[in-house]
Amino acid sequence: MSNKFTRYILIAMALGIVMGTAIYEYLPDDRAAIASNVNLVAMLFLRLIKMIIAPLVFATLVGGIAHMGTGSKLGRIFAKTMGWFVSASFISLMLGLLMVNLLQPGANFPGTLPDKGASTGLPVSAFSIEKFLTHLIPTSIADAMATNEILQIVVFAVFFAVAMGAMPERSKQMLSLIEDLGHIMLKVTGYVMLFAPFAVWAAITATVAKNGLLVLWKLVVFMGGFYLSLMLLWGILVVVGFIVIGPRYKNLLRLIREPLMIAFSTASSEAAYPKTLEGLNKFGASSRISAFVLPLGYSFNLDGTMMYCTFASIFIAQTYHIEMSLGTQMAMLATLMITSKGVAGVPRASLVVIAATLSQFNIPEAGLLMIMGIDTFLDMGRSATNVIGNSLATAVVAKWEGELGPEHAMGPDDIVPAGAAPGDPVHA
Amino acid sequence: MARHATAAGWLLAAALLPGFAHSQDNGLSQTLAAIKSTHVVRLGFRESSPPFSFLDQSNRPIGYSLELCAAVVDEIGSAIDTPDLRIEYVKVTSDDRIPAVVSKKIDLECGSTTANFERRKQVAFSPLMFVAGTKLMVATASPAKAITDLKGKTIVVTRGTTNEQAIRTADTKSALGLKIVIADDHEQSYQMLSDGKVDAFATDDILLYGLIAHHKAEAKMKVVSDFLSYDPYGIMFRKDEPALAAAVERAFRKLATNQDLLPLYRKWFVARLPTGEKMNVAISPQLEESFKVLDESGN
Repeated sequence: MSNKFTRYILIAMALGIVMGTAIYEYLPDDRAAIASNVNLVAMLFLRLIKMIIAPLVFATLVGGIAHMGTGSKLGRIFAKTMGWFVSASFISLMLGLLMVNLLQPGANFPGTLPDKGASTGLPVSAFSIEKFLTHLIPTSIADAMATNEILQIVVFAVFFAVAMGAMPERSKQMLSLIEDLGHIMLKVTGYVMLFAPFAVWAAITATVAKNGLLVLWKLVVFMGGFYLSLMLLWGILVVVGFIVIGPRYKNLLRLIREPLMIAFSTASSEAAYPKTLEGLNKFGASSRISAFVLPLGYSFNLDGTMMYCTFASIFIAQTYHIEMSLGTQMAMLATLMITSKGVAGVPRASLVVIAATLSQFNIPEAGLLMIMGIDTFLDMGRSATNVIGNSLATAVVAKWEGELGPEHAMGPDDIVPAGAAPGDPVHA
Repeated sequence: MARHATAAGWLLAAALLPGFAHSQDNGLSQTLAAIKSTHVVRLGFRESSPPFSFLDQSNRPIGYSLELCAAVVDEIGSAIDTPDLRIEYVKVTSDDRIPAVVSKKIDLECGSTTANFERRKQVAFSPLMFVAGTKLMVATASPAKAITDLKGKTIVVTRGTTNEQAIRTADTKSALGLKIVIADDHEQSYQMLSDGKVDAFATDDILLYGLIAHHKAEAKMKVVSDFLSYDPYGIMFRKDEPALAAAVERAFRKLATNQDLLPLYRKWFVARLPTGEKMNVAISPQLEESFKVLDESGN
């Protein structure tokens, strides 16, 4: 089943490239209209995913934490998780910095530089302590769910689950209901995923039809350099995975192959969430860990996005021949470390973060106009990388907590029951 | 238990903080206070800057920028709790638009103004509403897709435009050996290309599309190349008025989040205008990206 599905997605991607190129070449007048119509299919899929996410995050998280017993265990997991996130972010930012200095993609830049004084009008104000805190704590759980504010749902779910843990007798029925909800949402995911190949086809067709493949040559040095660095980051993550988790890590890579391709094609890491969660559960990570670490990772552990922040910022400095001393670059890294966590939950955060960083370090913000033109293609790589980073983070925390059981041969309608200890036989 | 209570206290404090900070800078800025007392918002418009801001057949100001401004006016209305605001239209030109904003003759300038840091010393700008820039007009039959395809060819630019500099920069940078000819106005530049005296005409893409629409030359001429310079446009208003700036940004965010920006763009740049012309300007990837940044639903 899974192999077949992967093949369908690969076929969909190839078909998308061929059809997109044909539309771009032969229907130049209609390509924008066709692209936006075809993209509807991808949009429907993304909407279906969004429909799943709030109840899925809530149900799996409450189900997971309610069994943890004491709050101190939760605190420990949180500390380990954040420790991993911070390290991974640092490595990603550092690698971006290293590679952009090594490759110098912005030196002797052949294209047009936007006038230094031009202003991109990106809403930099989106980043502030106030915004961060309001993104963290919901005013109403209905509102948080209605707007898919994952972080807010996590905060509410933690309160809810801890309260349930404090009154195990009274909350028994509630817990069983919520666990059922989690199972049902995964079943729904199974249905929605049947559309994934169509969505992949539509997303790739639309992107290629609108921009053409030649657009890849426009900033080829920059884009090539960025993708090379991404590959390196994948390499590092995979090596770390093998070191921490052992040889069975390769099975996780196999399990997240589909969400990876979906994230890449649709340039949305969110689209991969349910399938990544399922993959992790199959891999043996107990759902109390995965249901907690994964949604947090979507806010705080976007490795691809992190690397992009340093890579793109220094690239723009290079195109304008602005010398950045080692000290300045380190200061930039430190700033990004904080600001990037602060915009958790802000859509398209990377552009906003980079805009804010550029103006802080007196690099012409206008340079963003160059890379905004090709951001879709960069976002594809960033999203796929985020999926790898998050699945690894979850597996590692599970391993550290001794909650990484053996692999389960499960159908898509199963998750590890939160109550069962890892390794316990799974009731079907 | 005590530890829990402390933690809850911290969480509560954190939850209250933003609301508290908010109520503090909510003191109305001058402009909003003035609007609240007069119930009038004055919008600066341009007479002939289609499709951004222009007059329709019955001499009413219409356009993309004015429609964006109308959304801002709605937002101002809810910010000052005065829903029945009246709009007063004030004509501005490219020369007096900045003084008009600074001297409080108008509250919002709804035209086609490039946002840059030089101007930001005097005024503030909305989020990006359009990206214009130097592009090339060539005959439909021309194989040229970029300026690098025009090695050794002749390009006309109009006297006194910033586009001349953009072309000269590209020429030196890629060693193209271009012959650059100067014409007195856009119309003359267009005629030179139309008569086959030059291989390409370089100026702001939005003007090129306008010329093609005006001359009904869709079959004869086309616009090619990437941006050879970038002019990001925005709505202009008085600076140092945080409440006004917040209302402007909120209006844009609401439009983006409700998926209204793209249809609005299409209405003015792709579909036929009320004056009968059709600009046919596909949205630039830069603008599309910027709209996505504003979209809080994350689509």
